[in-house]
Amino acid sequence: MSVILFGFGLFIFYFVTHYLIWKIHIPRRQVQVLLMLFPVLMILGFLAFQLFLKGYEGDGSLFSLLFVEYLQGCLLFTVLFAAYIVTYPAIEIDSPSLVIITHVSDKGPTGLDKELLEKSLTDELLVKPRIEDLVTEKMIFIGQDGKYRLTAKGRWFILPFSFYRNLIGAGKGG
Amino acid sequence: MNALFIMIPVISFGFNIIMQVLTFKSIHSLPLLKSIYSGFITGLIVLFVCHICFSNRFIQSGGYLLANFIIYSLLGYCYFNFVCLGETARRIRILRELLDAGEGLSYDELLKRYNAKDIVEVRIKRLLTNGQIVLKDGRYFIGKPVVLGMAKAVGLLKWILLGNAKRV
Repeated sequence: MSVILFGFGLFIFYFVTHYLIWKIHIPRRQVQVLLMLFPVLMILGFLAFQLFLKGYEGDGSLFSLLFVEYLQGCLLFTVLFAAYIVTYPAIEIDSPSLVIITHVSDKGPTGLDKELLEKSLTDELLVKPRIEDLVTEKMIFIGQDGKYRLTAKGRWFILPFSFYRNLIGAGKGG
Repeated sequence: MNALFIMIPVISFGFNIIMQVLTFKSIHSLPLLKSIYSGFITGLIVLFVCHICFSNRFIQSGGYLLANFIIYSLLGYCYFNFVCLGETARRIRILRELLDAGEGLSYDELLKRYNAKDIVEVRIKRLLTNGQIVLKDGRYFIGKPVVLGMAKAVGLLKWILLGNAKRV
């Protein structure tokens, strides 16, 4: 149980810090900042836990951890963080499916006209902002000929997805 | 507990991936989601077997088992998201188009390969197939409310973290 408490405790510390920073200012490259916070807050959280242990006067058996248990707790924190990071884009950016569902739901019992829905979801709304995000995230750049190209970061990022999709024989998705 | 215990969820996760890929490739009629479930269950079995084999007091290692179960489940969740991103994410598709193009693509060239019409068509087809929306007399209505529930949950998280910022 100590391991679980330690791992979740680190994650709660991470989430609260992230929430407070976001209340002051939401960074332009949100996922980048979340990634940068991870190692910093893991170390700070660990140190805070050690300080707590020093000052704690009660029965410390719940909080005493072997080195290997600290490692397991850190692994738990890492996968909690990874799960949060892979979920975050869905919070940051509205998925088209959820937008469609919300539009339909908003119309209630009268329903939403099929053509109206399809006309309202344009390239300007669905594609262009995502291209701009990729430029902001430095995954792609615009060459002198005005064409978009992958940066090294973008290439390394997309390779696992491309490899996996080719491995299972699936199409390009999207 | 020794260091091997920490590797158990990672080893189980490896079996998860292998089984998911194998079942999807070998059973042609199997939907991607069901292959993910089969991979996850396989990894779970491996997790329990490893705990039985490497712990001589299986019952007393309940706390470690629970921790490893949580770690494994979260790894499974991350893998599920990885697969879903490859299946549905717009940015992933755009990056793949640029990877395949090699010489770069202008905005118009990119739109010829992937555009709003494609995006909306695929999603509406999926929502209709899963019964999340229904089409009657040229109008869409909510069917099963599962995805609507997800939309509201995500909306709430978004409001908590980002205020009412809208980005599609």
